[in-house]
Amino acid sequence: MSDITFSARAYCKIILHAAKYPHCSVNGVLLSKSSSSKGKEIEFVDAVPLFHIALNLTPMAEIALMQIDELASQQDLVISGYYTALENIRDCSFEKATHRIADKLPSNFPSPCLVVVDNTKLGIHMDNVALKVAQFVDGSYKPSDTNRICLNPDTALDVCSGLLERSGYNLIVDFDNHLDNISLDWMNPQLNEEIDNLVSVFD
Amino acid sequence: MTADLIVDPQIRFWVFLPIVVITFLVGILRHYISILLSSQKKVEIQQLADSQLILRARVLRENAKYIPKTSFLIRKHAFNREEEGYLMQKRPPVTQNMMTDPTMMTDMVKGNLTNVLPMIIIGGWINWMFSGFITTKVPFPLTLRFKSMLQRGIELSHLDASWVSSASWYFLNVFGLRSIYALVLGENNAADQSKQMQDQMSGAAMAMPNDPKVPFKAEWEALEIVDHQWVLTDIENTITQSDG
Amino acid sequence: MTNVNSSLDQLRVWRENNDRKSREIIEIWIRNLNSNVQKLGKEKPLVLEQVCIAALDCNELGIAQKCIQELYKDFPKSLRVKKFEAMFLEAQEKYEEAIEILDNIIKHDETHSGAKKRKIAILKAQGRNVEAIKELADYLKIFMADVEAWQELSELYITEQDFSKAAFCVEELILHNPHNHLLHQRYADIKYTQGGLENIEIARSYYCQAVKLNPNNMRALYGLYLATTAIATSQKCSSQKKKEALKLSEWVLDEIQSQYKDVEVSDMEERLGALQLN
Repeated sequence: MSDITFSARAYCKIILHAAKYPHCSVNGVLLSKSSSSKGKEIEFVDAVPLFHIALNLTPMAEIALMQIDELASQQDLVISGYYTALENIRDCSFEKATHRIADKLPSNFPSPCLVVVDNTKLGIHMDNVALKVAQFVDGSYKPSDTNRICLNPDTALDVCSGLLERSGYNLIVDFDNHLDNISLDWMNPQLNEEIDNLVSVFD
Repeated sequence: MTADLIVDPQIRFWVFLPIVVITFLVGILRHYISILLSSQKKVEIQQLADSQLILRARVLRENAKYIPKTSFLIRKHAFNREEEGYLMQKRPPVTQNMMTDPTMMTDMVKGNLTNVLPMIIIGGWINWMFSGFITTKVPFPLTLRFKSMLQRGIELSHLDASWVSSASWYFLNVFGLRSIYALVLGENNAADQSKQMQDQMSGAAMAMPNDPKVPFKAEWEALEIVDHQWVLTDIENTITQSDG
Repeated sequence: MTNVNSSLDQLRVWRENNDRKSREIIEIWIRNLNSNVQKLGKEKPLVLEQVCIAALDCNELGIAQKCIQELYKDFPKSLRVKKFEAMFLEAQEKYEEAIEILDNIIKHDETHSGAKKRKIAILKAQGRNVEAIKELADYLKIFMADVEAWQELSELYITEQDFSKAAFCVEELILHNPHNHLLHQRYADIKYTQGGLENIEIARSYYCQAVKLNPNNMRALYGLYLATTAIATSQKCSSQKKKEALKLSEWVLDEIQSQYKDVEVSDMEERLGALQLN
């Protein structure tokens, strides 16, 4: 059984990004350790929130990916997944979620994942993972079984609820925010600290 | 001899002030009645579409230089095509006759009801009730020509022109209370009759059937002769130079 | 009383700037205004409308309902209030009933653009984007100068990845508002996304225009850099053109670097270094 694991950082960033912009689609990329690029087992250690306006326009995505790739490779990480939360609350189909970035991923990583936020499962207190994952196998993205998705540590859901309760979504910075105000860092060092603190609290 | 003329203080209380109060109250009353009677003007959807079309054509003509040439030509084609171009559309001739259109008739009747009728009635009543009084005196000398204006209802050839008769005082009030109404009722109030009068002057021009053909034709011609010059042709060099 | 006044001032500022501060508006309403509805004075209907929309945005249906009831008390027959009632139903996903009310409004007043737009919004909420596009295009045949509608249509086309039509809509926006740098940048974004040398050259020109109108538009600077490098490395270009593009791309890189001069972001060197590698 190969597993798809989300770290607390990755999971919280995805959810907070979706919570910050409830009225529009958002997207971003997921990073995993480049050494673990064998087999279907994958652990996403971090997420980089990208855009909330005009997702389908490519120029800024190119810039963002160049910079993310550079920073990630220095930390021995690789872009290995793409996540999105769609504008329409009922929408969590993979067809609508596909994006040029997702199409390009396989050339960068052998079995990348396409992650869609299940909007209907979102709430302040979440009991289960509000994500749907499709993994790239044999030339196309195929939906993965939900029991393959797990969080590391297990308290990530509580961490996420804790952040949502204290309006942590105001902290998250995506690449669009960075372009509007370049002093904001899309690597989210401040949020990372906050998440790490909470993780140690819940341990 | 004029200095000897002394006006009875009773006139102040029973003529001068009542006229001011009556005209003021009538104005307020008229404001509220016209609000009650006013019907919202309905705009025909075709008319609206036409005006928007003209607006869009004008914007295209004025700002064409900001879009690439092909984009401009596509639009020009859509507007000015021989057949079916937006600006070549045939419209049924507008025969909006005042008398045949019932909504226009009622609007006119309502206008008369709130404007002309009270003016005649109140004016007549004031003339009858307070006729023949001298009410006040303007504090400066005036020439004889003003007599007919300020001394309506008093045919005394020897009276100094600066005295004001009751009927004239009424008319002065009707026109002079405008700013007071604006103060009490806010701008654009219906009590403001002098404005209504101006409207009536230009009313003839406004009531003309607005046939879109004429402005369409004008826009069509203007668009035909637009010479498209893209402003961004040499933008690359200008920005490096201006900053460098 | 001072509380009420300061709240009203704050709400007025947001209303005039068209800010979407729904959560904040609701907080102000609950804190200061809810119990003072009668003290709102002249602005009462405007404030109620604003709060109503904010409440619908935050799914505070109780507050929205109260606002609508207050508005109905003052304007029992108003079509404008009816539109809010339809929006209230929309928020509860009772689309059929909402459409019924909206149709009623349109029957009363054919030129009621608000109701027509709401109907399109319902289609969008139901995920029927293609139909929404069609309806919106029909709407624009009548209300040709409605800038908001063009904007929405361009965004719908972008979601549906129909970039040439999206470009047409943005051209229309530029015509109406030729000095807005964001529109020029958006147009260039679309042209760049379309790809092809010709489109990228147009994109370069519009990025330049956006930079000229606002030298701090980072998207335009980055976009200009991408467009010029794409031209410089293109095989179809004459060497003269390539040289010009290269010069421009160097200039832009300097501009970008100077933008980041006063900003403290970690690993800045590497981030920008990533650009030069290509």
